[in-house]
Amino acid sequence: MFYPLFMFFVLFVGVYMVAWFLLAALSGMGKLHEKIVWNRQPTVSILVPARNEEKHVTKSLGSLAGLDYPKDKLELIVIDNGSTDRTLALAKEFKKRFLGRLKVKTLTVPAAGKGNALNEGIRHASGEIIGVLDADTFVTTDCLERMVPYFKDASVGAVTNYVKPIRAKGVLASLQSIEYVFSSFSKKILSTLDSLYIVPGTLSLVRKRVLKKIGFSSDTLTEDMDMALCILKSGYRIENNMDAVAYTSVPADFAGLLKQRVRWYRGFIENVAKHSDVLFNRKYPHLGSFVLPFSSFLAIFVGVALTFVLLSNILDATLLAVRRSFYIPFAGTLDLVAISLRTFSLAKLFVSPYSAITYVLILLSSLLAVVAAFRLQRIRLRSNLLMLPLYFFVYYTMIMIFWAVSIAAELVKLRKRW
Amino acid sequence: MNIYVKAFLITVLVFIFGLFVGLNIERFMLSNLEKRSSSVESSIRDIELELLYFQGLGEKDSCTFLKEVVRKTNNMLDVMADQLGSYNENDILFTSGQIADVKATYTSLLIKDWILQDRIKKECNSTVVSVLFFYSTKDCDDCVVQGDVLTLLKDMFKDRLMVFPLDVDVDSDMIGILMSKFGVKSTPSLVVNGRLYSGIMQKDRLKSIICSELPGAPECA
Repeated sequence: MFYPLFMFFVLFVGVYMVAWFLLAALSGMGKLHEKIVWNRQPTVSILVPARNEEKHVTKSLGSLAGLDYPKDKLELIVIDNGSTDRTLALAKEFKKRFLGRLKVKTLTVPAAGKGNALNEGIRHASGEIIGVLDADTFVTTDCLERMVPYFKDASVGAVTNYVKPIRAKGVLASLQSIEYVFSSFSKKILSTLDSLYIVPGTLSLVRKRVLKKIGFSSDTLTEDMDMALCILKSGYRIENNMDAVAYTSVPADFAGLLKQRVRWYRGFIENVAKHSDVLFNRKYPHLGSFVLPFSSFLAIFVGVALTFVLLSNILDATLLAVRRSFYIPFAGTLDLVAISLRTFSLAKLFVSPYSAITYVLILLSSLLAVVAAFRLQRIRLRSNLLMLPLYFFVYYTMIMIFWAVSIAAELVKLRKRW
Repeated sequence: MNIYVKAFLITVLVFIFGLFVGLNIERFMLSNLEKRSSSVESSIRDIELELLYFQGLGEKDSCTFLKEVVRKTNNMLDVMADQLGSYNENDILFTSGQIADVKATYTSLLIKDWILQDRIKKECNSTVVSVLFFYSTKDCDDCVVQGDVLTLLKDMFKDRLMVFPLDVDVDSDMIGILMSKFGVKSTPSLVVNGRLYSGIMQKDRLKSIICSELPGAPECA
């Protein structure tokens, strides 16, 4: 009796989150393409922490040089975070090339976490506003002019932008581009409800006054989420502009994706644990009472539950196949395969009308959320139409398994501590 | 905060719709089962009627007619068994009582079919092997494997092997009677032409037992 009740509850939470997302998206429609105007242009220092990024650093620095912002109010600080390749050399070449046109500083910091590198950079920064750009990301020319004006409002502590993956070939790249259409959109929606909990290193801007008070920390795997939560807890707001676009490089193979996601999801768990005082706290209306708790719940339970169901099905089928081989020798591989397929797969999932309905509901709600993200941003679905089934049936499942792996990794870490 | 109330209402509506769809699917599946059950019932009444008629006449020609009806009935019972076998009690919300009734009816029909076939075997001197297969759906992986063994052998022997799968957990007096008559104490158990074999049986061993009851069968060469 426990199992169906539990699935019922998980399904309820899942459908609820989609309904909430759609309502939040509709209510934030007016702000999607807002353009703030400010007659002031404060000084901006952009920190570029880099560790062995010789492949990308010149391109990202080049994109910064192309920014449409008064050059006398702009400063770039490249922080070599213990690189063993030509990163520093390339940065120095860039500095020399733009000597007299653009202020560039290069620093070297021994490899001890991104947080430390950034804090060192802050110490050398002279701008009123500090930006963080990872060396594998490049920006479009109008980024700063669209993002800076938000600081006109004194309560704004940070501004983020819209992230897209750098166009690459391959199935994994197309799947990720669908994913980013949805996640970048939801960041905008979250910001309209003061619930944006990440300031990613894709040229996010933070007020120096705020940064000096907080400082980056290296105690979690994702210092960008840590920083965002600290900013919100200091009473500042985080805004997002959807027209300021940054392109980031995404993993091209499965191993790279696994590594990246396990770091992200472990970081999410670590940060929710570190900032657990936000949960169900009235001071953070949407973030504390809904976004964080329910996202965590879904991530943990759906990820774990789905992986568990998949694994137990596979285990059952394997054990059954082994037993069969004892009692049905020489049945021929075709016979065995046919019989095994009959008892495994569909029979287990769709035997009951409710299993089928649950599966269909989960799929439909997720599909609805993603399609809404596309349509509300007026992005054409047609080119991605073929990818969508692959996205829902394969990619989603893979992500859920990554969540299960991340949770397991965090639990292992906890046991080591005791 | 209005978003939260609206989202809740939407979710509740979606759930009500889902339950409504589920209820209708359940009803549809149940009515299919009940229809099939009635067909089997009338088929078995046909067998009983024919037996009665031909017994009265003392004719031996009856056997061809009887064998045909029996084959038809067995096919229907097989289909019913497949449909019933795939039900999981935990997942049926509205019609579980009625499904249990259909299962009990199916069991009675199956046993009736077995009794009638026994009588036809004697009347027509046919060499057909009847296997009563006692199984359980609770914690019996061996039962699943035994079922597969039987399926393979059925494909091999076709009409000469009749399998009667009996779920020991179904609420039926007759199953209890049969179990005590043949001394069935565990699952899986097989009663092949009246002889009990407890525990799971390997394919080749079962095949040789069947062959000993079917002298001269081409599959046993």
